[in-house]
Amino acid sequence: MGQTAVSSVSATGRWIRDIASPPARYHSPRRPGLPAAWWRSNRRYTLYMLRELSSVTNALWSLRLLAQLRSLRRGPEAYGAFVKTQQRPKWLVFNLLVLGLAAIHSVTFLRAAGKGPTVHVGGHLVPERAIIGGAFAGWAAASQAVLLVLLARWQGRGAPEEVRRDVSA
Amino acid sequence: MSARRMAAADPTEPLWWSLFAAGGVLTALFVPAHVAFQHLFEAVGLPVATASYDRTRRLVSQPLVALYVLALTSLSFFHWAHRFRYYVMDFGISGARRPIAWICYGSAIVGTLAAMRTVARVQVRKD
Repeated sequence: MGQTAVSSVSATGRWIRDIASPPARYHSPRRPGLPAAWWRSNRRYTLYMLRELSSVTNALWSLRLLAQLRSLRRGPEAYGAFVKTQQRPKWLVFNLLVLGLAAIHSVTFLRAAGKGPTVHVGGHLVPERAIIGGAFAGWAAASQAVLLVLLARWQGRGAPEEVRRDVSA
Repeated sequence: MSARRMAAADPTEPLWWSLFAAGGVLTALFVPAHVAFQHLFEAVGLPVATASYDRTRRLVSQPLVALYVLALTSLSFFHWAHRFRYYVMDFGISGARRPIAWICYGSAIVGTLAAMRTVARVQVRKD
């Protein structure tokens, strides 16, 4: 079978959507099923598999965050030593990899947010672009909130006594 | 879908899918900011809260922050579990579906319990 793009044509005959061409020998009668490297044969498939891989790196990052919090129990020295490990090339590479794949997940996930729901406001259908714009605005707001909390020097109710004295001094 | 196929469908699927979707939203919104502003800032020595022992203890002792850390970590495990279950199929491993599902969701449950224990144990005791 040749490499023909699978497309939908609207009633007016205009192309409304191009779906990627299937890779060579996608469903060959001689080799039924997917070839092992199917995801390398097309940029969109590769991006899809990278997006799926982000769930692995995000979960590993969560484990590392919990390990960081666990080190709090071993005292300030142990916690400081843990924070210093972030400077090691191995953990820098890990964090950059997590960041790259997490960004792919965020962009693809938030773009998909506009595909599902049909939202009506005042009897008018909210366009997909507006929903996606709202999702990206939410991402920006969430990122800003994380940054503000990390930069804040607030004094919590649950703060240890010596910390309260330190902050109020 | 016929009634017969409906009956054959996994009744727990909506639960796992909901946890997966919730994890997808939370990780999409918050993980890039945490990695960039927390771990990479720590690496270059910027004075973010989590670079300091005292400030981190104060932060995680806030009930809302503790709940947030628990939700972010736990749901990211469930997001992984549901995706990874199907990811292995994408690589051509189509057998042993039930054991793979058990391992994935079981790991997410164990991870959630570990996250609950960690968050509870780093709370500063109130006098």
